[in-house]
Amino acid sequence: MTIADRVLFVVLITFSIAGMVIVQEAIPQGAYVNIEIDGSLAYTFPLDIDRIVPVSTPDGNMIIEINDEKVRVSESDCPKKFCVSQGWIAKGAIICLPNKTVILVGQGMPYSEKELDAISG
Amino acid sequence: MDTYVSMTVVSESEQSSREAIEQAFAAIESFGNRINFYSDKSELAMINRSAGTEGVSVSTETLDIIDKAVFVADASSGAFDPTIGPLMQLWNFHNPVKPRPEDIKSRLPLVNYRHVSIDKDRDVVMLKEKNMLLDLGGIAKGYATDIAVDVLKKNGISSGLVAIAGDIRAFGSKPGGKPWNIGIRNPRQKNRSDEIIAKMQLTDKAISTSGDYERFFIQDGVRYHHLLNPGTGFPATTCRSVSIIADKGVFADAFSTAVFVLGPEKGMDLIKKMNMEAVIIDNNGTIYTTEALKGKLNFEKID
Repeated sequence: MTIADRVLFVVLITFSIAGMVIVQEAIPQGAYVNIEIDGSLAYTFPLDIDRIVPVSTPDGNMIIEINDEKVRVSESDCPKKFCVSQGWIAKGAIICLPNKTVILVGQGMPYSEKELDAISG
Repeated sequence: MDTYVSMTVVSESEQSSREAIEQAFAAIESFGNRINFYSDKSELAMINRSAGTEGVSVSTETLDIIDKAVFVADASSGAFDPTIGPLMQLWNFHNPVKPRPEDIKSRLPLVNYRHVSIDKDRDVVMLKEKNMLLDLGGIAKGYATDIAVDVLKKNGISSGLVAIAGDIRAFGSKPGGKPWNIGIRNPRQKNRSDEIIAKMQLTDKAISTSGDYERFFIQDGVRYHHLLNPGTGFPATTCRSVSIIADKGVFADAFSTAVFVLGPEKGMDLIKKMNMEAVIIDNNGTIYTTEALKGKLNFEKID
């Protein structure tokens, strides 16, 4: 299993059957950035506080920058630097396969920690 | 079925989740069109128009939900009855209309699930008496969650949550193997902080809640709501809300209505017989639960 396989997506769509209005939205932009290294959560930062995070992984080093509620990989010593060329993101993920690092934005708290998934009644 | 639907799926690919979800929505939508009580073009409307005259050939899906509705009606001795239509028509919960007792009395004989004839070989449904009306409002949302889950699974999704208003069906688990967290609504919510009366975890089950707070009006201090007792034509009075947990959404939905009408005692007996779980809040606010749920519900502190 590659690290990309471990990225889980949660998609939420709300619509009214009678009105046939389809509203499609990903989970609202979150307030946190999660950095996972080799499959486990290494850091969680709020997205609205600017900072520069040097990250050392067993496979290489990276610098992750959070600024103006966006995040990017500003430096990485991986060979092709796809993660750097992805630039700033405000939601979604940046994945650096050589460094086995996933930077997730837009889910805020890990979705599985959200208190209630649905209400009956 | 004018209501909100939300689907949450866990998948390795956003693209394939979106495709699966779109297909599930399409399936619910076409189902909703077939059984829409208010649309002249629905299969349900055709059955109702032909009541007492002839049988109507319908889709397998429509036949199946009517068959299941009659099953629940039979199991609950008519506490849930899909032929409640003529009585529902007399009530209006938006612009409070309390029907005259003599009107209710005259329509009571039309409410009888035994007069629904289902021919499974020919996919034909017939209402035997003129002016009978099938109304699948008490079972359709739960059935639609089952349809959605089937479509999601067929599209390779192994875990997710489908919620159609208060009818919820969960399958598989959330990322990290965690169960889904479900809240049960407080039937007498006073402010924003007491919306939930209990929380529980759900995996590979459906939950549905019938409550007297969904559609109602209060006149002379009496609450008139949409959960009618098919035997009297008036709202059932012994419960505030009933939540049923079952394997399928269709049964959770219909049995929650049946138990609401039967009341806590007879309702509990029925639920035990059906091997389901229940949370019943009676008209004093007392909470009853089935044995297996004890210790699994987290009750919120409510004044």
